[in-house]
Amino acid sequence: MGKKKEISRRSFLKVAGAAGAAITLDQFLKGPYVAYAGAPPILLGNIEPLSGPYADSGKDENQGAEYANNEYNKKGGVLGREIKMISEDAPSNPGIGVQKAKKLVERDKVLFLTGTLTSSVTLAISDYAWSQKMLFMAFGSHSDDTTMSKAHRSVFRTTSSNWMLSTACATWIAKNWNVRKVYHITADYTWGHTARESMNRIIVKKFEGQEIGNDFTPLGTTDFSAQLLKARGLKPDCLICNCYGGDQVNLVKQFKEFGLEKEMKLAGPLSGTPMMKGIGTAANGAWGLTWHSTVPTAGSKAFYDGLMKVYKTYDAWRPSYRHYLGYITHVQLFEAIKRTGTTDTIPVIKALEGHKFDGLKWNPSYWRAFDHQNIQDVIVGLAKRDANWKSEDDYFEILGHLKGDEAAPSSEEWKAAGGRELEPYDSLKK
Amino acid sequence: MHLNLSGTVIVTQLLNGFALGMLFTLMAVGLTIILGLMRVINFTHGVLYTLGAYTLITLHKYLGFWPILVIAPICVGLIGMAIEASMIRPIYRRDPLFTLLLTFGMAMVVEDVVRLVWGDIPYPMAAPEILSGIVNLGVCVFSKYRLFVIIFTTILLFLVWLLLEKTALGKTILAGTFDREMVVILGIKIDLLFTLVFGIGAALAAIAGVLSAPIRGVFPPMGTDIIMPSFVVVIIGGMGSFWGAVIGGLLVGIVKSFTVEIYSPMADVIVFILLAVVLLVRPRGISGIEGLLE
Repeated sequence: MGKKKEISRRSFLKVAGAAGAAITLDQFLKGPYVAYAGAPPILLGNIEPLSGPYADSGKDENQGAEYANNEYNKKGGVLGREIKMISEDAPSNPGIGVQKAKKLVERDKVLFLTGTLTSSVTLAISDYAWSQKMLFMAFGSHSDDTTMSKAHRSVFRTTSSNWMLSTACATWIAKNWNVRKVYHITADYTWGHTARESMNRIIVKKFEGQEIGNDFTPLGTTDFSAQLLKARGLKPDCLICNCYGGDQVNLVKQFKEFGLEKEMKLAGPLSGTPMMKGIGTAANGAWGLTWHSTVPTAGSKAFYDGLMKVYKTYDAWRPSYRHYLGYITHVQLFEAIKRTGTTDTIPVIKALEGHKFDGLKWNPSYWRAFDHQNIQDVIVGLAKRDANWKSEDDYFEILGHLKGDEAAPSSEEWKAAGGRELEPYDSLKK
Repeated sequence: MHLNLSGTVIVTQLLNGFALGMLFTLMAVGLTIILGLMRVINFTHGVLYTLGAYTLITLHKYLGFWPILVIAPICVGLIGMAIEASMIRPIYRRDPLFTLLLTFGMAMVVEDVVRLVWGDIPYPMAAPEILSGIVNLGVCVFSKYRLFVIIFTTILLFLVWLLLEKTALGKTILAGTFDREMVVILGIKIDLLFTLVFGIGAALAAIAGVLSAPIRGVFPPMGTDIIMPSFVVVIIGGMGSFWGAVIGGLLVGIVKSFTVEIYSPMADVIVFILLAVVLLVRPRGISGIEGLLE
């Protein structure tokens, strides 16, 4: 046993005093918020995976939100109050997500929660936000549940739902590539299952096609060779990849490795820049996209130029759709606060419901009142990486887009698929 | 669901299972020799495989693919020898559980170091130009790269077999596997032999890592993904046995491929069913050595 070292009261006071002085000095040097003297800032709590496998996408969403905050702060804030955002890191674990949300609500006293990317985290925080009577603006998780079977009055979701993405992609390939016989490779969890059902709703039911095969693969599958060879034997018109992340990267790479691009088409409900970075020169297929940096509208171009000035880190860098989601959501929240003149939950929710706005795409977007889904144009993009590739702009060529109302489930379809009626406003009274 | 078992499908899935199995075999041979000779259940084998793949993505833009097939095993082999000499050697005389815990912990540390150095994002890695695309074999078409993997690993495993069976060093290793004490009594410096064998195992893992990079991509937990099936191969084949590892690897690869073709939901479970069946019929695996860890 070594001699136990004790801290004397005197030395403890010295250290504590010095730390206290340092913190005060730091605050003093930063200076008070002169421009907003008197008015407390509007505090937002943003939760993203800033570490782990989805860190790249999480950081993009965070940057997009930050960009919107700065834009409004430069103009004097919202209702004369500065926007302040506290960011928390929650990798793909719902337990940690709720813990972080709790910290933001109870300790930091934020007024709104925003962000999230993984479905499981989004749903967990959604339930928590509802229990706290707090408005939660979900950015980037695509699972249908968020605005369907697990919808809440106090939750809005910005990105297109799985249903919308699959519908747009399936409609496009059925019309333009004449796809009728499909073979699915499906990630074996809720997202994958609903993606497959949605694709089949269009191709099998609407266009009277046929599903000639489906393989469920566990999340994290690295080798799809046997499934791909099996698909080759059955000769579908198109292979549908209902996988995301690393699984999608390996599937698309191996699709090329086995030379399947000469025998069938490839498509999938969802892709994006993060996957294309991993797929590299094997890029292929038609994919559902919520936004891409080459959307040719004036709004998108202005947004694109603005981000390029602030965040460009390497030559080929371009804003991703994750930036777009963070930006659009925060702008919408600020505009709703401005319209109502308050940060109270119920009026802000009412201001958002049914509100039409410029989503920087072809047709206007709107927040649908009965499910709180952002109804917007859904893009179908062709993934490619050839000799003409210059920057991340060129990851996708925009093939077309489907109007939001055609892509989203109608209220009847929504109900039939298990849509849950939103709670009455009164239950949000504090 | 359609069942389509034409001759073409059978030959292609057979080849595919072969390619899959050869990578498991390459991992399992290293594991099984280390286990047989040193009684070490080496969980660092997975991260050595990871390091092989990261050597490839780091040096690829300077050297291309081929030189790294030689450089990676040398570098990783040396790392393996350093690990053995500095950390595993002091605890040989303890229960095998100690080395298991040590290597398990080290695997976690190295995986996080890989994250720190190279980041979390998967790296794209294409097959070398000459091996990209497909080749027509008459009965079927197949990936050129995977065909190369089959041929290359077959030659490599043949060389390892020659080393074990036809050289004095190999004879000593095999003798050590059967009776370690006798080898020591005969005056052979067993410490040096252990370090060397650990290095050879690490080098084989690194080659498996390099070979798998164009197929499975390169990402930090790749080692964790391969270590379990590799151990299963070792156990099916029989601990400590070279031919056991080869037969076990091929069996796992081919059975998995055909299960996907016939009833895909069973593809991941079938490996463990195979394991259970083999252990019921032959408790020491297909050609396990009597007395090892018993």
